[in-house]
Amino acid sequence: MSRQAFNNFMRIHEKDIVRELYDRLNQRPQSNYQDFFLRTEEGLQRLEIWVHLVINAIGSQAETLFRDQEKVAYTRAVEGFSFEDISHVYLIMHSILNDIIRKAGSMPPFHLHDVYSEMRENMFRGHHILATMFLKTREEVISEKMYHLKSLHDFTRAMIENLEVDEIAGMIVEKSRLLLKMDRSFMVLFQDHRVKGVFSHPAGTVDGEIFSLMERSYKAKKALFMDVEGNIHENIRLSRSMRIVTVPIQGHNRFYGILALLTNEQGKSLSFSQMDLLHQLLNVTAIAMENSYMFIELEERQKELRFLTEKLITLQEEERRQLAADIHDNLAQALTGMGYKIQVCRELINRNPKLLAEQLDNLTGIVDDATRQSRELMSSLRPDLLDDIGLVAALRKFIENFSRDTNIKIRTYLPRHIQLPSEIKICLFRVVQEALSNVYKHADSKTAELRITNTKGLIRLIVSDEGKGFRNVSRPSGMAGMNKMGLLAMQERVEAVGGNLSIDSRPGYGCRLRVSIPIK
Amino acid sequence: MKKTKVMIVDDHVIVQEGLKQLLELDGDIEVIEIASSGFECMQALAKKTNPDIILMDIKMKDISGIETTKLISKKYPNIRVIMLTIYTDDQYVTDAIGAGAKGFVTKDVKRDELIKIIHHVMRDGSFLDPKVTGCIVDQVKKGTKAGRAVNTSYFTYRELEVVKGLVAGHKDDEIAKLLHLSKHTIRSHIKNIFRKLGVSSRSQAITKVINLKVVNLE
Repeated sequence: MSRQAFNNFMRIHEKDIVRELYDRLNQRPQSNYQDFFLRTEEGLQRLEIWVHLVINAIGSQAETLFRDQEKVAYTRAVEGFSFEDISHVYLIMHSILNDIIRKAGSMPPFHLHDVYSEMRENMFRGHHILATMFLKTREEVISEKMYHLKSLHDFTRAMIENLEVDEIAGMIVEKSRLLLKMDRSFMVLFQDHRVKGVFSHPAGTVDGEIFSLMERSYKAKKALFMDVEGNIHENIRLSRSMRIVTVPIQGHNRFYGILALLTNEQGKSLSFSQMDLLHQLLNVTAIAMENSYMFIELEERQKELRFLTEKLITLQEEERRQLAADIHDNLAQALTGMGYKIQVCRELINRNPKLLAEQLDNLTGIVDDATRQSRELMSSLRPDLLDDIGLVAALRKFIENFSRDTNIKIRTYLPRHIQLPSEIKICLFRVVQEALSNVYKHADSKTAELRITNTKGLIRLIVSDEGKGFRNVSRPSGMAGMNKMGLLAMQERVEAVGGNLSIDSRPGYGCRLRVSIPIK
Repeated sequence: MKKTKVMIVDDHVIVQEGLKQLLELDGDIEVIEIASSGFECMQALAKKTNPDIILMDIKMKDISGIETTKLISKKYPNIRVIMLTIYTDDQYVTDAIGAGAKGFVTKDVKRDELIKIIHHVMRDGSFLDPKVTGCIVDQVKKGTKAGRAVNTSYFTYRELEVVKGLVAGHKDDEIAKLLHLSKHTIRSHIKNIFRKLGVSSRSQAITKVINLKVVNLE
């Protein structure tokens, strides 16, 4: 049989050979690479290509087989298959192919032996090339991985030490470009879904094309690739010749920004290992950003806490000042006046006994007034009434006095009796005191309403008036003006017992203050 | 003998009454006017009420007795002001003296003493309650520089009205409406107030007048 006849024979039976190869390979114990050949579309194609190239190698086209083996070796090495596995599968295929040919040719004539040994030699050379390339590539991959690992390590260290969001963004823009050997890189930094800044390396402006790809990536929250023709892909394998890649940077529940990398190099693509590195870099960036925002939040919290503490101290001082003023305005002045009157009386003993009696009557009235004032002052300091007669009775008594002093009529809707912990009783009593005092001082209203309900473990208190009202704010801290302090103090009190206070008002529509406190 | 004409400035009715009765027990003192605030006092003086002596409380609604005293010393130098207060703080004493008060007496004063003090001040004397002289001696020893600087600038009656408006949180036009003045005039008053206080903003001015106790917060 001539070389030509052998070739013809092989071509005619190419499909049968592939099928035979497939069946015999399938009977062998399985390995990863065998799986690839037998179970994937790509693997089956590779099987056909290999048989085809081996057949065509006889005569002139051996180089094509060798180059293909080289390519296969490179790809498989990068993909991470084991050398043993690949080598073993190819050797099995050699022996199966030999077997098939031996059987097909029944007894090899002498001249067929030449062709046959040429084919075997081609296969072995191909295998040798495959092995060399595989090991060489594996070394490169390892050294690249080492380099990436080291870069990633350095990057992570620098990132973790940094707490400035802008600096973190600057670093990822610079490092990703250098490590992936790209020409330019950009980042759009977001905060609360608004653009906070745009970064570029080297410095420059972002053109519309990159921006629109970044926007698509932002909406899809996915990495996107644009090839040289301007087609957009989600998968890098489909864009062999890549021009722009855009990747979102996101943490657990926050979105930080979009990174864009651009190359001007023709036919450039990113390897899996490079994409892997990019994702690692972005993960680290997201963590660094998360840290940074957490740090900022923590600082703000601390500031708020300091402010609250200061406010609390101010409120305490304010209460004390108010108390001192009350004592000065009422008791001290009354006592002073009485002192003068007593001196007058003393002088009158001899001068005018009739006038003395009149003055003493007058003095008794003043003493009675002062006694009442001191009692009020005391009960406002520590409403003992609360413990003695209970909240509802104490409130009724307070409201009776309040209405008499201010001429403001209060409609009350109170439960007959509520059993409450002491601190909640005091809190509610104080809030009613302060709220009604506000009605008197600011509301310009002749009526007000007090309502307390106790249902399902929740105490609700509402004080409302039909007065002039004010610009609505949900919480006293957002308020300006004279009665802010008192409202803040109320809020503090209510929050201290685990409750909630809100104010609802509009100019001309009165004011409604609500408190709710859960009872354990 | 001519009766000594006394005016009482105090915002407590019981004190006003008691004091008036106490002073008038003696035939040679006549209480010719009672005012409940610094503003009322200045209004009465403007209506030709002409007391020889004013007994002035320090802490009252609106402007303080010390600020009112400054104004009186400037406008009516012949009227002698005696501070009558329950406070004995050093700062009040030095401020009162700085404001031009001729006497500083605590409110627990006895009738005989008070009458003696009034007569003493009438004879161009001055009187400091023994309870507060200690702090003055201390201040003299330390030298005035060591003590807190005494605020010697005084406000005019109008300016005090404007200050009151500022502290109440009113806007320029609101103050103008209250005082029946033009907004322009109010602005120029505010400028003068800032200059006297050495401040450059409303909030600074309010803080300072409160700290200096020119006005009292309710």
